[in-house]
Amino acid sequence: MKNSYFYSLLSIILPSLLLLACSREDPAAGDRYLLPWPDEKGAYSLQYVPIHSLKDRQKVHGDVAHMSVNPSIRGDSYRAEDPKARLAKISEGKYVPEDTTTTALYTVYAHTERLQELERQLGLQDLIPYPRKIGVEVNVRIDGEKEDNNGFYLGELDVTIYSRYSLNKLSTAFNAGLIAHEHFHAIFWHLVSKDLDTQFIALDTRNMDEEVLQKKALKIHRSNLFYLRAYNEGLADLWANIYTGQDRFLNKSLSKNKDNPFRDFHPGRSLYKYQNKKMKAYKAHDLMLSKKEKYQPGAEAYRHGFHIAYLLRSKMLRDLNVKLAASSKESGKLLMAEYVINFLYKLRKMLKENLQYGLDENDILPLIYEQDNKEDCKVVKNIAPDYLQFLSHCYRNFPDLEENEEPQEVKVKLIHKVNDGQDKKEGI
Amino acid sequence: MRALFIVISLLVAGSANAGYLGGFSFNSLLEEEVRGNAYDFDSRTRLFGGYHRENKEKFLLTYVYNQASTTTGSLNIEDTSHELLFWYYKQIFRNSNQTWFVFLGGGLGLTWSDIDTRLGSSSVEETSEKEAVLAAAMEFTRPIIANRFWYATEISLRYAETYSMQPALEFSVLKFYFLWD
Repeated sequence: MKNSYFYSLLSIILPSLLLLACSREDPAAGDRYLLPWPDEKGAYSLQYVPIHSLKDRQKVHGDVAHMSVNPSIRGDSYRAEDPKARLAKISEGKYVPEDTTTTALYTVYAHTERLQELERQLGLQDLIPYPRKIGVEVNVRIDGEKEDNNGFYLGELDVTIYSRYSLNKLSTAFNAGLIAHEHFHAIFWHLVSKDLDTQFIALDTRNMDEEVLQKKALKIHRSNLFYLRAYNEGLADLWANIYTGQDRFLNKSLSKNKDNPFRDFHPGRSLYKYQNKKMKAYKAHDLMLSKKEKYQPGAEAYRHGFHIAYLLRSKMLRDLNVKLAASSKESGKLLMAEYVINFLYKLRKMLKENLQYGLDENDILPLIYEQDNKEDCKVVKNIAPDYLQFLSHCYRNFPDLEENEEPQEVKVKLIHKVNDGQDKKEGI
Repeated sequence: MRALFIVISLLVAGSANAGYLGGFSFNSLLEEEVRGNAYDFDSRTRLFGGYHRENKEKFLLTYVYNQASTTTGSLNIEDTSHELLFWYYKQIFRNSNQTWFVFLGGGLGLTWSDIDTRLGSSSVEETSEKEAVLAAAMEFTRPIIANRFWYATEISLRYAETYSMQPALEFSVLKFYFLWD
């Protein structure tokens, strides 16, 4: 009888020891994972994608990001549980996610790794903190309304989240452009927004001076909020365009009514045909300035921001034309990313100088185009003929430019700076 | 696989008062969810067959087939898992009327998955490597018809070498044995 117990115990203990001996393998650099991935033409298919920096496969933790599923975010608090990713090992170094949530965790991680590498090549490895905190399938509610099919960057928490996806297209967490767009917001926050004087923008209204909240100052505050949001969103679209090489990325994931058709980098387009919408944007802007309640910039900021990003891209392609022609696709991407980062430094300087007076549309264009450069003036006249203040300088410098078709005057109220910069008035 | 059958055959060949048994059980596998720190039950049906000696020892070969499907937008993943285990059960308690028996069991085997991933018109079908599974169980058995039909409930703890399902508790409220000589 004693022997019988001995053998039964042995039958349990021995296999246990065998299994313990086969300890789980740590991830190796270059292990490949089956993920939805874009090809050269931007079409998505299932591909084995290498990941180099992963430290824990189940938690999806590595040097680049600590991933989570539906983290809890309330006010200033962020609480995330370690996920338990489900993967099947197909062969040495080859893995397949066993569910779509695991696919989302790994796809965002893989793109973030490539975006970090882009920063490293630009010498910006210390600009934004790594590992990034990123959540997928987040149950987002804004003012009680569900906000599915979207991505968000929360600057104060330095967290990126992707909300649940409820459409039948490419999930936002699989969309390379959308991931690059959200990642750029972290770059913009750390390079541009973070150090700006918060009393002139709505980044932190809690500590705002009472004086600043007076009506006139509030106008400045709201105007700054509008343009900062616009630049951030527009340049994020440009970053996505550089990362993916695609002119449009939203239409792969969003339904027609949420896919803003104006966010299209297709070259050679004239922005003139969007004049009416642009006018609408400025009317919205004026309306915003008259509101006493807290303003949510909304879609008009995206429209204006894309306008600026398109103008910057046109200039960038012209400036880098020769270099890009001689470059590989990857080094071309690097050149363009460097161009945008250099622009961000110029933008930060301008914002620091002008925030106190309130931003307006005329602040940004001189950072991109030169009014005493005839080629620049021609380009602006062709693709953005309603930037009247900029063009009026051009016509003064190059009178022959006016001989062609005269752009229509846009009768909208804009805030103009006066020389001493202390006062502003509304004009036509 | 072949080795398992050889082991069972040798055990059967060398025994006296032997009987065969087979059956099925409806199981619930308690697993940690992908989001972490939360659990859900995965229903599985287990089929088994084997051999017992005087209701004191049992040798079973069990097979579990389970399908799970997840969809997000245009991505769909069908995960079909298979699990084949060899179990040894030892009776550790019986009441004086011999109406209740308690068994302690240990299992060792393999698990693998067939994963069919589809993204629009792009699809990839893969079969994972076979990986080891270790399990331990406590079973409460009640003969309904002596030497013909038993009912049992079981709780087991399983540990798979794979990147999923480890470690996991499995409950079997309905487990049926059919016996013959």
